[in-house]
Amino acid sequence: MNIDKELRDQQAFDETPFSEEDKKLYSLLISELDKDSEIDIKPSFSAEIIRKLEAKKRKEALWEFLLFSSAIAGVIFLTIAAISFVGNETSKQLDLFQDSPVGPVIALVVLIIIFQVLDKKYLRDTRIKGRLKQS
Amino acid sequence: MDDQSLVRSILNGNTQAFSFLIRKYEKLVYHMVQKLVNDEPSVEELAQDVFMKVHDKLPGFRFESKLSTWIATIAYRHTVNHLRKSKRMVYKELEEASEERFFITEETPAQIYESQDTGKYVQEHIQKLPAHYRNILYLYHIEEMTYPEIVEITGLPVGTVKNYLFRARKLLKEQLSKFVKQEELL
Repeated sequence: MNIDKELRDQQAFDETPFSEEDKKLYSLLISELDKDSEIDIKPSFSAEIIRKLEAKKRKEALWEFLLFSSAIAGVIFLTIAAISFVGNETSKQLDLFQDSPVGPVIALVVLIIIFQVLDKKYLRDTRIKGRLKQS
Repeated sequence: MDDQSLVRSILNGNTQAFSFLIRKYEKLVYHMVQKLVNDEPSVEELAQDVFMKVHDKLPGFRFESKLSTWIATIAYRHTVNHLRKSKRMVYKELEEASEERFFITEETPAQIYESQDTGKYVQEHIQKLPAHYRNILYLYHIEEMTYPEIVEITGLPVGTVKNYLFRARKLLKEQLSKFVKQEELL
């Protein structure tokens, strides 16, 4: 660190001309401030973070699998419901859209799940790939 | 390995590269957190959280600043948010404290003598300074960061950053003068 420059800046801040003693004290202080203090970091610190990260990845993978499975099941269910609604008017049990709010609610949930899957899996992956191409 | 290749490697899913990044910047993050939070268990926990956040946010990092500045910013903001959430008034109090309060306990010559050396004496008095002062002293003197970099990390205006730095040094110099006088008497 440039002590002379630091002394000039400090003097401008203190707004008083420095005596020889002030200069000596500030020089001593700045040299002490430039020394790094000891810090105790466990050797296992990085390994613990990697462990946490891997556990988080596993949790995310499970969550993605559940979302993906729900999305597929939802699409199949809605397809069957739609086919029965259009093609078979006598099959009232499957006519969910006409008789109760269950159909629209399921449709909405399925759309949300599909959006989550797309956002989590594909958009994020595309973003990372794009970022890698840029660098 | 330079920071560009390191980030690229991590984004490709290389866990070893992230482990290398942690080792490279653990000291910076630890210091950043420790300057704001004094108790040891939460320092380690917070430092771990910071690196988890760094991993999450890495795809969005565009090298518009140095990687160290970006990591220090995350460490600073995460710790400040933690202090705000846990409603520790210490942070607010220290931020607004008047200078007279920092070294409120008058030291006896014997206490000064116990400090043994200048380095230890200065470090003891740095610990008594407000969190912002300690942090800015660390970033400026140890990490040798520029004013714009410190502004980016802390979000404080450049005038405030300079003010804290010079005030901290002035206060420490006054304390150091007592120590030097005591040494001369011995």
